[in-house]
Amino acid sequence: MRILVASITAGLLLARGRAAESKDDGFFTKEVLPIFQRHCYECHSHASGKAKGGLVMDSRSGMVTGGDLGTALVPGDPEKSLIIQAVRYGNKDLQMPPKGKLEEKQIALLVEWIKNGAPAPDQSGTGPKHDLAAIKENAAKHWAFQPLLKPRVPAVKSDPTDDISRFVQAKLEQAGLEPVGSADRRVLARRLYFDLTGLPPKPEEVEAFVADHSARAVEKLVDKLLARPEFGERWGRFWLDVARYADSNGGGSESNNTHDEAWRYRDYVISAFNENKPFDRFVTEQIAGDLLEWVSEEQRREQLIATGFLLLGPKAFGTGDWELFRLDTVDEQLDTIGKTFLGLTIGCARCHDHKFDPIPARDYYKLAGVFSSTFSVEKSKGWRQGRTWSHVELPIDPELSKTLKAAYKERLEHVKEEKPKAERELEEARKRVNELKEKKADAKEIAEAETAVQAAQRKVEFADSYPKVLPIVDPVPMAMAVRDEEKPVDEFIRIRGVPKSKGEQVPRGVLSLFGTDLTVPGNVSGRLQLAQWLVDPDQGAGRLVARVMANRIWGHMIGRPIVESPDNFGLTGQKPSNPELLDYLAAQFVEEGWSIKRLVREIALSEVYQRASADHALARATDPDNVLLWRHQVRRLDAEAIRDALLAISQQLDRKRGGSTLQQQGLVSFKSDFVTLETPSPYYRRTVYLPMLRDAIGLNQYADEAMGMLETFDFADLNLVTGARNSTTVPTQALFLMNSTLMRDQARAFARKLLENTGAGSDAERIREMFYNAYARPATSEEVQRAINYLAGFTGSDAVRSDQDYRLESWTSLCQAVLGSNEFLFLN
Amino acid sequence: MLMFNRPNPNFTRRAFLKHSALGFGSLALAGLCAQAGTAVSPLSPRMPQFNGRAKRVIFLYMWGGPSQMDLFDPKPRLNQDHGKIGDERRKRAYKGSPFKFKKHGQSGVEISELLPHLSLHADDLCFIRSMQTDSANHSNASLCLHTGSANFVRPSVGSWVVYGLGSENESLPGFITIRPMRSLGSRLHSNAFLPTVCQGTPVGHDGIPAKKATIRYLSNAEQNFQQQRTQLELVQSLNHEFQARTAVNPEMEGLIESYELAFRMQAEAPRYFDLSNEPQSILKMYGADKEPTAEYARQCILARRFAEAGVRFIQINQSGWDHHGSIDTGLPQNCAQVDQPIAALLEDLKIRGLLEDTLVLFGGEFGRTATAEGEGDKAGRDHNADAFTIWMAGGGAKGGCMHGMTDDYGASAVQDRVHVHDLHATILHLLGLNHEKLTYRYAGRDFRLTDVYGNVVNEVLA
Repeated sequence: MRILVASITAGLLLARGRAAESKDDGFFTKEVLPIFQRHCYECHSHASGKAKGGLVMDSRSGMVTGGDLGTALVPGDPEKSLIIQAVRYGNKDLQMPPKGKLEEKQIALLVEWIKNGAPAPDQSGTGPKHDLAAIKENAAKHWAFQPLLKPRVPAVKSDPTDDISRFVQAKLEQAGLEPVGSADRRVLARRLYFDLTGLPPKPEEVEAFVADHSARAVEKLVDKLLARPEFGERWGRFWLDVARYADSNGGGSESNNTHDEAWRYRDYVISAFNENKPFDRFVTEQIAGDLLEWVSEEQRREQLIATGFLLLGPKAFGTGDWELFRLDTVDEQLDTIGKTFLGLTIGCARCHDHKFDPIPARDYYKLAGVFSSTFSVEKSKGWRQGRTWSHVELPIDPELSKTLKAAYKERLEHVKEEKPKAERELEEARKRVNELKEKKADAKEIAEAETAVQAAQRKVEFADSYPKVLPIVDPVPMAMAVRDEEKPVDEFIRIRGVPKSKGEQVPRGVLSLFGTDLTVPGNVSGRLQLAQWLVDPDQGAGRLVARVMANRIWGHMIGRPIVESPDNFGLTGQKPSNPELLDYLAAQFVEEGWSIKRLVREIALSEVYQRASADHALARATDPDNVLLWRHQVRRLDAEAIRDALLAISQQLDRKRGGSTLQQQGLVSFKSDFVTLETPSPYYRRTVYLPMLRDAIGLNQYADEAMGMLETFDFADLNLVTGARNSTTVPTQALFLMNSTLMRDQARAFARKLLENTGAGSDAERIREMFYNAYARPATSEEVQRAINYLAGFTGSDAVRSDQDYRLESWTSLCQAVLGSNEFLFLN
Repeated sequence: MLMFNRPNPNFTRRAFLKHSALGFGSLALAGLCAQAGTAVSPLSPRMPQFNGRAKRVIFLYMWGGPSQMDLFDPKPRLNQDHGKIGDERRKRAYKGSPFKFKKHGQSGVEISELLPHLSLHADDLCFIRSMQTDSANHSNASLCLHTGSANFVRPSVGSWVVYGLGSENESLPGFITIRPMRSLGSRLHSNAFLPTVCQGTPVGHDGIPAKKATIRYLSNAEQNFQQQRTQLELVQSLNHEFQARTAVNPEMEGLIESYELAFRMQAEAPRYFDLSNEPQSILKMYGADKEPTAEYARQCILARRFAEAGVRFIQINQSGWDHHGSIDTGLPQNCAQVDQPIAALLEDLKIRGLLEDTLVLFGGEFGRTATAEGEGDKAGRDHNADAFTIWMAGGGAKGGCMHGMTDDYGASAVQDRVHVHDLHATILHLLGLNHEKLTYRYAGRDFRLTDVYGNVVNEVLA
């Protein structure tokens, strides 16, 4: 920052200052320094650790450089020096020191000192140098920024069958550890089903796998699961975590409008994973899909939808200041791109050069220019008017488009007639109540009439709001998508990120981190060039992008990423626990055409992945956290896997794919009834399809429970980029398992299915079926006996019930216990 | 962030962990709630960084922006100039306050006639009349008040406090927000990137009457206590067998423990919501027995109970202070709902010796304009981010204090201005937390509640 500002502060000042810098006739030390020490350094010095307003005053250059308000000291010109303005207390917004005005004599001394050229010894300001060169030097050695070369597979003593495991084995041998053996076949089946599809295997699927004694049994299962559409639903959700996907804007309650078309992006992501779209292509489409060539309308649609990625963040529409709002929006985009693709905290460079990573503010504003030249948010529309982010009509057959538009117009006309009609109905209903009351009709009849009034009232309210909603219901398919501004612009560096403090204007470009820059033609935003740079492993950031993604894939499969700060690969991030393995995976990923499925497959087929989670006292003593992977990492199922598995086991899961699940559109916060879904149906769909409403409170019971459940089990925050979720244990989780309607309903549905199964001859058989469904293994005889005892000892509710009710109740209780136990909730 | 050349070692989280009792940070991520084994419970109480005066906070949030010149900041000049144009641009006239102010207590702090009960506690109250915030629209200003940021997603004050101090009660969450407003959303009590245990637990929401508001999943309509106990025993025996078959895993142990904790919670927590064992005299004191105070009274009593139980941060959310119109008739109604309950809360806390270490905070997200919106009976006041009043009581806040000053019209703070960041710094200070050192490392950066801002307002400390 100092370097940066110094460079854009008039060079003249520095030149003039330098001569006086080394000289000190004693005036400074004797007269000026004590004033500074007493009144200023508390907030403006390295010694105090504070630089309020961005200003440090313990060196002459610090004062010349200045802070938020610009240079504080103009040697030779007291009137232009902010220091003097401040101590004079003339300007009510700039009065220093804040605790009280200096004595006139002290002010006079400062004026005199500055008038004489502000001579000061070059002694102070001895804090460590903020040195971009030093940072660059560190960065040059930083592991994540190195060219991506495939490391040689290490030679190991006990040789596993695959390369991945050899890299792991090498570390284990170094530590003198031996891995445990392979997992039980049923354990492995359950692991694979959950890891690849997010759903539990059916008992017959487990048995089929166990019965397959061929050498390629695992391979066949892996390939089968990779080909299932549930793969995309599972792995697409991971991507939605890092894309901070949501179906409403959030961004402050007054701008929490539904993202009406976000679902198209969600479906795009799911099918990209299912089709195994090369990851470099996937990245490119999300940054610049609108600028890519296309051969079919379908492709064009897909590519437009992909750019929705850029618009999904929370946008603070309420911000009164347009320029600030616009720059905040760009900032959100850059911050997300940084964390999502590069694992870098680019956002840090908005206010100053990044303190740890080689990202000068200049680079930030080079990138900012690209997005300032991209149409993302609208200025003209009032922010309460609904959708104010960029959206485009998707290309469809022109004839169809015409028909749809005509139908829409007709509907709009029709709606206008609704209100008077509803009002007439209401009036009549009211009249009837009055009549009945006058007649002193019986209470029941009056109550019925009153219900009719309420119904009519709701109709009026609805008719009232509907025309307001309808205009944002689209006549033709639309997508959240960006486009280039007609006149691309280069952005100004904003000093300390303050929109009004414009510094140098910098050309659009990319991070200088890898030594290459790009030339953006004058008539385009530069997104396409940026996208190409992102996925270029040699000249661009591809090496980093590949490492970040390979690390996440590994993390999802193994339960722990190699770099434990998956969204921060910068100098403050964690070091890889096995750098050679990470580079192997990343290089392999690129080499295999950025194929996610191939990488997942290779990991799934490795010995490391297929290890048991068994204990090994010696290994545990040396490596209690299992960093070296001597065994499989046991982990709790994540939020959606728990929910989806509950629904799958109770056979309530609605397997419908894709589409919008928002039943109403509009402001989530002002009109929460707009998204109050009265039917549970969307809430039995896979979690990935639930309406992901930011900041919503008080939705209907189903929505509230579903969202509450996800939150409780560490689902990704809908506002933030989340490369790896937390896994915490809070008592609310247990409360959910004990008391939630969702849990009770699924337990009951499961119990009912078991009881309805006439094929099962006895309760013992039903119990075995229950355990198999929940745990993917046969029950032991002790378990069966315990369950039978439990049912026998069950005391029903106080209310008198039929035997049938009683039986269902006891089975529900049993099923709930099994579904609430660790063996169901954990993957081992 | 400081613009220093390299991270000051005093500011890095790692160094901080070494030097403070707050050494749980990332441990909390693997968090085990029970104090089992070697793991430290992220909710277990922790020593503050220094001796704070307050141990907990009760935040009486008044959504909408209560009018400072009608409640806490009398402006004779404004009354004199009533009717004169005060806002040239919008052609709006000054609107004097029709409400009388009187000096109260030994300190002589001035309070409007609309708050007669509160006035009896004048000497306990510490007014900051020179509050300022970043935005004059509700959503951004309320985010700013609750999280320190008007635009970005940041943890709520209550989450930071729980992160810093843990909780003194294992059967209740550390941060409870009573009837949060649906229109404002969950971000006001969100833990954002802080550990999940720090998130605010809502008690109902504003669409549910206070009587019915409770904590999610706390009760089971279908199984009685004994059935659940038996069921839990089955769950735990399944868990122990599974544990024996597989490896030692702290997370699994955590869930086993948390079942027991949850069971205790659901056994104990409901009694906090059952006011039937409160003495009549107490219910009466709060106004729980009559309109229009019953609703707010109940929430104040809940807050007192939670405070007594050791909950760290309790918030009550009250809406309706957004008087764009008919303020002369609207404001008295709002005051009538909360005045007696709040005064009773202060009294009750005092009687129990809790006021000393409970910081009670009253305020909205911004204030209102000196000029009128609309005319005659319909007149109201617009939003104002440049001046508003909040008050604190107990917990080390200086009683009978009036800090800061607005201009002659109450339109803008002019002396000893206190930004929301300063208020946050002060709240943390009263709790024994240094706002510059209470940091959390997220995505490569050390975040704090006050970002790069904030000064403790020393003048309001007792």
